[in-house]
Amino acid sequence: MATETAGTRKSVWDRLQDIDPKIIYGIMLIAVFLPLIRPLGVPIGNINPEVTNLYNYLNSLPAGSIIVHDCEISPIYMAECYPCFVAFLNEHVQRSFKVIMFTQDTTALPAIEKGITEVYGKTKDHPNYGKTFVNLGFLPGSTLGLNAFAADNLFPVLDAYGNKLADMQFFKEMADKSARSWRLVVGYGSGGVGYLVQQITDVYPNCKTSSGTAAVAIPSHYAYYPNKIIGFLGGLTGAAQFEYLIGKPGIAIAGMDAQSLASLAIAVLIVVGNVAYFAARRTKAVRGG
Amino acid sequence: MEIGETLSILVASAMTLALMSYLWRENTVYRIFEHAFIGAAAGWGAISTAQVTWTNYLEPSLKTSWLWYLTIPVGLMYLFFFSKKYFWLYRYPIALSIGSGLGVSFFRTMKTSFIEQLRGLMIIKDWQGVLLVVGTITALFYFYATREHTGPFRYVSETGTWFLMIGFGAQVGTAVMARISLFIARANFLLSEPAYYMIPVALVLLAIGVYRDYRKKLIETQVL
Repeated sequence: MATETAGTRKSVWDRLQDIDPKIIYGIMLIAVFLPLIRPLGVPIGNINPEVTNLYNYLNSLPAGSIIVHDCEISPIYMAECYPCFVAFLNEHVQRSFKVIMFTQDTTALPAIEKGITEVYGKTKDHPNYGKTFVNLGFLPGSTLGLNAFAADNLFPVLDAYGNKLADMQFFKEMADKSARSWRLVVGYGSGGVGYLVQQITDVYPNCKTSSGTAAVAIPSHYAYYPNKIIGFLGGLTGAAQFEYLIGKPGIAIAGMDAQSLASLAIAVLIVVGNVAYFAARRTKAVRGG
Repeated sequence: MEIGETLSILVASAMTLALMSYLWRENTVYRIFEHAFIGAAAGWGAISTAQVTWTNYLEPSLKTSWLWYLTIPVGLMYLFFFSKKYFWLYRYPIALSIGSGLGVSFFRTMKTSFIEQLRGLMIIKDWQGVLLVVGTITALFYFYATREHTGPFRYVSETGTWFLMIGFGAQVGTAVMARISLFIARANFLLSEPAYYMIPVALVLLAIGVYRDYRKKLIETQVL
């Protein structure tokens, strides 16, 4: 219903298309802050097949299987990838998997330390450090470094705390100190995990690829899913679904109310904008006719 | 909580709010903190890369074979970037790293991301496979410029456009979801103690800023 009365006055439809961005920011602030202050308890809903596949694959692995995390969790990806990382680690502890963690981005080092402390309680002082989990810290050399590490797990020589890898029980128990012993390699960040498929899964087919990816990189995963990428956690939603499956609610489930309400607010704004656009066009066409 | 930790959280909270102040408008506080963040990230990256590369890789390797000493002058050649006269020497380490990186990744990229993708495309298992084949062919045809898209070709091209638009839509949707997640993480942090002490401070500063803007606009209107 247009309320155009004078020639210079804008109709409701025109005004709806020209909302001040500050009002939209205000709506988003309310949509995000409100459910964080007063949780709404929005149900998780259906679990994506990508998450279920990954969960089933991990369930099929025996205890002691080696899972490798390429933690590209720089501050930019902390919000989305860190909850995925913690959910993965919680699952690995439940299932008694062995974990190797490293990063090719120095700004991601604090995220690894934080995740280990949150899940295991301690880092290098933990009694199981060097037996069931190892933090290699920064792995330089990009693709070359990854390639060398996959071929020889003792290539980094020292871990993040200066301990010799060759002296660790973790590596002593490995019959084959290459990626042939790995069962899953997990990537993070927004660049996609195509490089892990190329450098690890294609060369060592026993080791599947997965990820706790930033949502922007989700579409790039489908090129390799489900043959090479066994499943993945897509952003905060994927992490929340995985937390639900492993029965350990964490930061991702806590953020889902805000995620749902903010997504709904954006969807409503898009619908309002488009309805206003077509209504304004129709009104102009009728007047013109 | 220790004083140092409290202070660091308050500084982090102030930085978050300062960066969020860009939503109101571009301002000096936002600029200062943006540069501080970039500087801190660059400094942290440079120092930790140098430190880890030396302690974990180069130093232990030097003990095993003298051949590793050859990598030091090659690495130092990067510094010729700052010399106009010897800039050409800087190209050698670059050529080495690009060449070896390309050599390692080129074959596998071609195999995994091109040949195997094409092979996967040729085996249609279900209706999703049909959709994939139709989408790929029509989207590729959209970029086919040798023949004019008229007659039946117009429909093929238009179908390709639809597939592309749906793909872009999905990409934008996930990007929006990612941005919301970022905001949620920061909001969660701002609502934690003692980070939320900075919220009233930020609101007062914002109110002063908005008032000053209003006054400035009012004076400009009166002058006119």
